[in-house]
Amino acid sequence: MEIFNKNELEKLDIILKLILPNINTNMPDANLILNDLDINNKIHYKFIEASKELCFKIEKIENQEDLDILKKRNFRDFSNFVNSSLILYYSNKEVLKNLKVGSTPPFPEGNYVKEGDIYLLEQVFLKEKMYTD
Amino acid sequence: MKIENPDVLIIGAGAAGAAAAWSLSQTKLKIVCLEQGGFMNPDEYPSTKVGWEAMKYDKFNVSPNVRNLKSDYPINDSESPIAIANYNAVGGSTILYSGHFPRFHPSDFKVKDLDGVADNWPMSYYDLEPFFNLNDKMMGVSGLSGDPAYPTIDGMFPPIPFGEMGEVMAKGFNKLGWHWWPSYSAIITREYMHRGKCINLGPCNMGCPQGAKSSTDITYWPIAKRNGVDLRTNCRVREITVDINGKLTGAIYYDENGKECFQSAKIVLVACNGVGTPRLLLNSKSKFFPDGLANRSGLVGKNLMLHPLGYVEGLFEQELNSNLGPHGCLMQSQEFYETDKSRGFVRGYTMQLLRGPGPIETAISAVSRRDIPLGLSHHDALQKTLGKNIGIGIIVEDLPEEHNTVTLDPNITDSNGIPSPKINYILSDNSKKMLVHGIKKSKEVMIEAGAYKTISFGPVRNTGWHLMGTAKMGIDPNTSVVNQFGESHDVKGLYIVDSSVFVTSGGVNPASTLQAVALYICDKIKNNYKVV
Repeated sequence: MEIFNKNELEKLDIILKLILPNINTNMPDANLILNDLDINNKIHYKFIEASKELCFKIEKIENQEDLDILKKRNFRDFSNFVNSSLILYYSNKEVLKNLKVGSTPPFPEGNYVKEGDIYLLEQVFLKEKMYTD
Repeated sequence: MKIENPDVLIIGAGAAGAAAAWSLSQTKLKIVCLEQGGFMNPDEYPSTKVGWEAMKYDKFNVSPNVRNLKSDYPINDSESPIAIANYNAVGGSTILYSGHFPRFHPSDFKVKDLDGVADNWPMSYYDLEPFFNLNDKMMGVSGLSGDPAYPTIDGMFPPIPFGEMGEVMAKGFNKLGWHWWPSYSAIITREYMHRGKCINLGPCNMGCPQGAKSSTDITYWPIAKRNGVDLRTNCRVREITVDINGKLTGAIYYDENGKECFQSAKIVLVACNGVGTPRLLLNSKSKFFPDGLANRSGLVGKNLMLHPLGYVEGLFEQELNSNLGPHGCLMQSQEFYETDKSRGFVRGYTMQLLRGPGPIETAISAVSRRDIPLGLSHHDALQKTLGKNIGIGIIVEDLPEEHNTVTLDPNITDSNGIPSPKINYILSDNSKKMLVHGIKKSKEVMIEAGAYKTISFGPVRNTGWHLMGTAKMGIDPNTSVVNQFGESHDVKGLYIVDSSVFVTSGGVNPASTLQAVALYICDKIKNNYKVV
């Protein structure tokens, strides 16, 4: 069974491209999150719910102007949808690869963190005892 | 190893329960521990997955009400500005803690004498010092000796690297002449026992697959089990029982199949944290204890302390790689820890430096604040923030007040039908003043360090990790629940070994101190029962 119908998919495709577009960056459009949705995954399910709720409330969406009206009229639903979209977008391997976020996933590679100049502690080290005994 | 008739029953296998189980396993005592959660599988921790950060919105969320796992019980915290955070598994909340591991200070144990507030503890820092040291050794702690804010602390692994962001902040603190020090971290920077050293995965507060973070499932438990402790997982205790004379008999629990069982014991140690422990005692009603077990003082569930947390974030122009490295372990400042009445409040707070969040949290919080737009300039704006933001958590000492409570909710139960806890909590004026002061001072140091913008708020809602004070320790049975050795004034052989017994909260993360207290109490038990 398809998660979204054709009409919903068209609307979501436009909204996602408007909120996180691929223009002059190496970051992909946000509509990539519509691929590989898993209804049994709680986080995906929240996105699906938020998407359906939003699609139900719009008749047409073609451009930024329509999006601004949608946001104004359905602020809470729109915020839920945006938050769910950001969670899925910034969990995507292709997206993370293009951001400087260190190893993806973090384990087992780990990350390099500079030691830091421990001699900056000199003036603290020389302080008098600070604790009350 | 299945033990039929144990001498000791420990309820809870988290920070305190694990330390207690190991300590008592050094004797010939037969020990059973019941834990409502199971063992974690490090291969399943979020940082082994590409979409690791998303998992904090689901089964690695800090709130049991969001996770809603079988091992969790719901907590009604709607009457509190601070929501309760915990984790239920072998290792307890050490599975999700950040590993920030400072000790309480000597002054924290005598606030009545020093500042005329609350009560003194019936022990001093120096009574606990050998147990702090022992606990550091067992857990594995990194840090640096020589901190002027503490008596000497030795024997730690080298500190966690503080990186470019740490240097920037250190210079800011130095310009102001304020104290700062590399974090005391329950994260190992060298291989130790069977554990790997820290490789800067980052999200320590979602579990550490490397085994570098010192959660008790990988520190105390392997040794305690090897010493013969019978650790039974997925077993939830409903009530602690007494006979017709009010003498301790054991506990009734539900096993992993939901079957009701009884476990006898001569000694019972409760280690379910500052919310779970009063919940269990209040659920353990009998003819002898109609208001809940060990509650003749009426203080079980009262004096809840939560450490209200303020937050200041600084945004910097330069690349700091601030999103890499152990999130909560970088450095701390205790410039404003001890009382200075000219500030308008008593006691003080710690500034805990925090590394920047990952891309999801950065995007969601900045978009909701309208600091990062949606649309054409979103990606550019995110790149200007990610890795360039630094946080300061302000942990203020929360003084005990009887109106801050854990009670039983008449309408909510867990999956076994056991009544759930309800939290009623309000911030004191003293805490509010400290938060305001801490936020102001944190902004000051951010600006001095070069931040072009700061954002601040507090108290932060989802930060109720530090659960203390709900079964207070003291000499007088009328004003405390347990005596100076953790034993109930009302029920012989019933001990409370977690942070419920804290008299005051200090202004630091409590894990190190609560484990030292558990080891201290167990040392007294071993001496009392002459089982060493």
